[in-house]
Amino acid sequence: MARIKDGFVLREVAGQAVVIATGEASEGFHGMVKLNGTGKRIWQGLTEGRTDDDIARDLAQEYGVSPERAAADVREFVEQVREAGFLAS
Amino acid sequence: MTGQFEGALGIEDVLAREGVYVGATAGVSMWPLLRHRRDTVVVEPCAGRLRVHDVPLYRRGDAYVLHRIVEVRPDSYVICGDNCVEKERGVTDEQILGVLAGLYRDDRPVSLDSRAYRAYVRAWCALYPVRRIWKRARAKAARALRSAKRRA
Repeated sequence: MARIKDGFVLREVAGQAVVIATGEASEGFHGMVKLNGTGKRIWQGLTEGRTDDDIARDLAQEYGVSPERAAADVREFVEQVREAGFLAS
Repeated sequence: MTGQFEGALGIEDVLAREGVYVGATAGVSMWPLLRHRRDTVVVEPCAGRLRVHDVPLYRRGDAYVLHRIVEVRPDSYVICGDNCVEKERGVTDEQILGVLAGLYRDDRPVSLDSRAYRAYVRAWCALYPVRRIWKRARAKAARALRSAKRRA
């Protein structure tokens, strides 16, 4: 199960979800990551400690897409987050 | 596409492209408003000249600085961090990248239009002379203590 590293937090600014680093995490990351609605939902699911399958199931229901499409979106997002170094090992 | 990763961009690039920069601050010069790597600032590009008590983000050499305007001059600003007593003079509009538009204390959003924020600014700025005396007295006492230890 993917887990977000401590210090990376979601903020809402003028209706836009962005992820930034705080605490020790901000020593190595100074940027910000914009998330769209789907990305925000996946991020929140990851920070709540939910499994990729659970997150994909909720996404499929909420956005009315197929379970396969939702699962692919979750996989893509988790891979982006992993490459950015936001996942705890 | 669920996200846009912009970690490699500088603050100027993010402000120009997105019209807003959000990030944690480092350092104690704006304490107690902003705590080191704990609180988050929302910075937006300036729309015209700034006013007293605005908090611009500007460049000082290679460093990014976020301090409060304490005096507006025709061609520059006098600026001082909330936790500083030394004022910085001659900061120009050309150096300024953006201005504080909001902040988060931990996870709690704080509006700069809120009564609590405005009361903080008024009180903290009014206490500047007291803080300056206190900080200078403390620094003098620390120097005297170090000197006494060396002699002992």
